[in-house]
Amino acid sequence: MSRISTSELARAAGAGDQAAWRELVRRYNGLVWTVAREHGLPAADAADVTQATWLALAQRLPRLRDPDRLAAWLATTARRQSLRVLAIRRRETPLDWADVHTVLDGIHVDGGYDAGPDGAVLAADADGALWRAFGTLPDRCRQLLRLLAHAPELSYAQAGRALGIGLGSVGPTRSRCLAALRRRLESAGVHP
Amino acid sequence: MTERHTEHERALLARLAEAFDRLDPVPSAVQAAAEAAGRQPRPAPSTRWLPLLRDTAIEPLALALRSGADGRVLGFGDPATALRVEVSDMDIGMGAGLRVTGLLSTERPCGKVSVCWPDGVAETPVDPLGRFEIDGLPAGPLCLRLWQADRLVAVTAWFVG
Repeated sequence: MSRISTSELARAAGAGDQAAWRELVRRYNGLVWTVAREHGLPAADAADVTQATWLALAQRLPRLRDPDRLAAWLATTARRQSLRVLAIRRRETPLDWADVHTVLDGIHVDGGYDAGPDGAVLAADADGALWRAFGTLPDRCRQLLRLLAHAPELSYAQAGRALGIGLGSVGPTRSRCLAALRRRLESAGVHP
Repeated sequence: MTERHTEHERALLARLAEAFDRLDPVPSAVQAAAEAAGRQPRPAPSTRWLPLLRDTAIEPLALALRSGADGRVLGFGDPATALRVEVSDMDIGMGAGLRVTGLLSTERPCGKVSVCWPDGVAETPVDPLGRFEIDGLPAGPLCLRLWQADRLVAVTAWFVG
C-alpha cells in the first residue's frame, strides 16, 4: 500500500475502499493533528478539529478536484477549523511544552523502548536533545518545521496557506529555522 | 517542497517527524475517529453540498449585529438554498449540550432537518416559515442534512460546534 500514490489512494477511498482510506489516515493524520496542535489547541479541541477535517474529506472526496494536493487540502482545512475553534474558545495558549517534557521525563525514568535499556537511554537522549532544541525555537519556526516534517511534499504556497504565512516568507523562514535548529543541536553536543 | 531540501535538511526533518510521533503522538482515539470518518454514509451524487459561507466565530461584529443572536451564527448556502444556523449552549436547567436554531430558505420547502455528529443523528420538522430547533446536541463535529419528504437533498459542510 505504501507504494500507491496519494492521488490513487484518494480515488480508491472516494469509491468506498476502506483500506485506501485507512492508508490515507496513516499517512496524513499526523499532519492534521500537527496543524491543530500548532495552532495552540488543547488536546480535546485538536481531537475535534482532526475528526472534523477527516469527516470533511470523506464528504468531499468523491468531488475533490485535485487529489494530488490532498496533503495541502487537509492542512488548509485543519487550519480553517482550528482558527474557528480558537475563536470560539477565545484562547490562544501555546502548545503546553510541559506536557511534552513530562512524556520525555517518563521515557528517561522508565527506559521504555523495545530496543533495551541502553538503546532506550541513547534514543531518549538523542530525541530529548532534538526535542528540547526544537522547543526553544520561535513559534513560527516550530509550526513550519513540524508541518514540513510531516508533509515534506508540500509546496511553499501550500505550506504558506496552511499556516497563514506569505508565500515569499516560507522559503527564507524554513532555511533560517533549520539553521537555528542545527546550531542549537550543535551547542548541545549533538551533531545532526 | 522536497526538491528544495538538501540531504541534511531532509534527514533532520525525518528525525523531527520520528520525535513528534514518539513524544506527541496522535492519540489512539483520534486515530480511530479518523479511520471511522471513512465509514460515514456518502450522500448520493445528486445531493447538493452547502459550503460554510459565514461564521460569527471569525467575523463576529458584522454578523452578530445583523442577527441580534447571542450564540454563534453560521451561514450555509448555494444559489437555491440559504440556511442560517445559531449554535448556543442550552439554558441552565434545560439539560446538557448544544442547541441549534435554524432558518431555512429554499426554492422547494424541506419538511425536516437532521443534525448529524460522528456517531449519531437527531431530526426535527421545519415549520412553514422555514424555522427549526434541536436541543441536546453533543459538542464536537456537526453537520446538517435537509430533507424533502424522505429524500436527502442537501448536506452542509462539517463544523465544530
